[in-house]
Parts: sequence; C-alpha cells; structure tokens
Amino acid sequence: MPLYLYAIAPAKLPRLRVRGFDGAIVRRVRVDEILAMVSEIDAAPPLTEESLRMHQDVIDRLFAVVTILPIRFGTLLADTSGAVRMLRERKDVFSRTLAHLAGKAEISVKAAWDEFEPVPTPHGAKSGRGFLAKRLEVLAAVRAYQERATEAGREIHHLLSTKALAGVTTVGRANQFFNGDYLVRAKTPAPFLRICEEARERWQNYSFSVTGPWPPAAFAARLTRVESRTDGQDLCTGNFWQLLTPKSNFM
Amino acid sequence: MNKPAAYTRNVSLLDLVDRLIDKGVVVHGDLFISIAGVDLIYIGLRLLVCPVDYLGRGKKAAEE
Repeated sequence: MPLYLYAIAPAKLPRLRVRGFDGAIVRRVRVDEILAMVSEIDAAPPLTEESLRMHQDVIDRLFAVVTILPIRFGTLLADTSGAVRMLRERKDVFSRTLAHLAGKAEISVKAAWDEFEPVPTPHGAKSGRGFLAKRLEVLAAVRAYQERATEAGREIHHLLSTKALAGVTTVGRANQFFNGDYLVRAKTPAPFLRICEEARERWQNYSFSVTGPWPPAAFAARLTRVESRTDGQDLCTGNFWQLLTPKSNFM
Repeated sequence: MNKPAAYTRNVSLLDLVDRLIDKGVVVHGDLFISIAGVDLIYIGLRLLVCPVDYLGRGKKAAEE
C-alpha cells in the first residue's frame, strides 16, 4: 500500500501516537539510525488548505520532540520496501543533515510593499510621442522603486544575519520583495526576534511578517539537495556548508 | 523579555504554501499532488507541470 512521507527523523524519536491523512497512524520505517515517518494512504491527498494543515500538524508534532527533516508536501512512496530503499540510498545525507540541524529551528521573515508608491500615469498626453514619454517616466519610477526595495532587501538580510546561525533568501510572492529563512537555536530565538523588530522599526514603509519557529524545511531542502546532486551543479551560492554561516546567500 | 508582537504561529494559507510546497526535502521522482481527483505531477522545484494522464498521452503520441 502507498505510504505518505511526512518527515525524516533520528531513531531516538520516542514512540508517539500521531494520526495523519485519513486518520491513519503515523509509523516509522527504520534503516540504521534514520526513520522515515509515514502513514498508509490510498492516493495522493488533494492540494487543499485542509491537507496542507494536516501535513504541517504532523511535522509540528514530531518537531516538538526532536529535530526532523520535513518532507515536501505530496510525497508518496510505493510501499514499505520503497521507503527502505529510499532511506538506504540517502541515509548518509539525512544523517549528516540531521546532525547539523539538531536543536535548530527556522524563522521566516517576509517584507512587502503595501502598494507601489504613487507614480505618474500616462494620462493627459496630447500625442503618441507624449504618451510614450510619460510611459517611460512611469517605467523609470517603477524601476527606481524596485531597486530601492531590492537594496532594502539586501540591508535587511545583512542585519538579520548578524543574529542568525545562517540565512537564505528566495524570491517572494506577489508584492513581497524579501523572503528569508533564518536558522536559530530552537531554545533561544529571542535575539533574532529582537533584530526583526529592529528591522521593522527601521523600514517602517514596508510591512513585515515574522513566523516560526518552524521545522528547518528550507535548510533541510538545500542541504540534502546540494549534497544529493551528482552532476556537479551547486544550486546554492558558494560552498555547500557555507550555508551554515551568516551572510552567505543573498540572491 | 518582551515577546515581539510579530512572532506568531497563526499560520496563513500563504505561509503553508511557502513552507510545504516551496520548501522541504525533495525525494526525487516520488512527488505527486492531486487536485479534484486528478493526479498532477510535481517535478523538482517547478510547481505543477501538467496532469499525469496528459504526460501519458504525450508519451503515446511520441511512440506513434
């Protein structure tokens, strides 16, 4: 029967009674010191808010007990032997990544502009040439705004990195010009949260969102992905383990 | 210690999508998402390419 995969965990994870999709018990498949946390499922869950919350709830319950590597939503394994095969192939990468992320959590920081600053609109032009000239003014104003936001993003990243073990940024959604994940010690996130407040006060013209602590999904993805690749292409900037030092990866 | 007001786990749907679809360990080749009963394949970091049965049709057409 297919298995839905929620997370990779160390074998020291205590026995827990957690239910996953369709009320199925989340059980462990073990290879050496690594566990795949799975539950039986008939078919892939639909991409709905309810499904996403179910997946998140399971990994939150596991993460409350021990550091885990969250698996991306929607991952199915053919059966238990498929889970064993997957673990055998990746156990060394999983083991190293779990060791590096032990006791750590992620805090996600996003910054967005509420809307573009007022820019001249090409109204009132009396000729085609006039319209195009005003249109160029609009584009230049938008570009300047984007450049200011990009520069602000760099500065935010550098500021936040001073209080994080590591930080990575990705492209934001919609009006987000800054989308970063920062690795902190799970038990002592306060210094990082204070620097977030400092950023919020310094860049008051942008709206900030700070959430966490989360299981380290962004770092687990990068660390396992980079090391798993065999074609020599490093998807991150710099050396693989530089991810674990601040200021290393602003894109 | 003052707990920053912004520090929250009141998680929005956008946050969930960001955390669970954009991030998390990828076990290559085993990632499936379905919408409205249609299995959709999810490849690497690119979201939602096309339905599985469409891929099947494409393969069949190529063989013909």
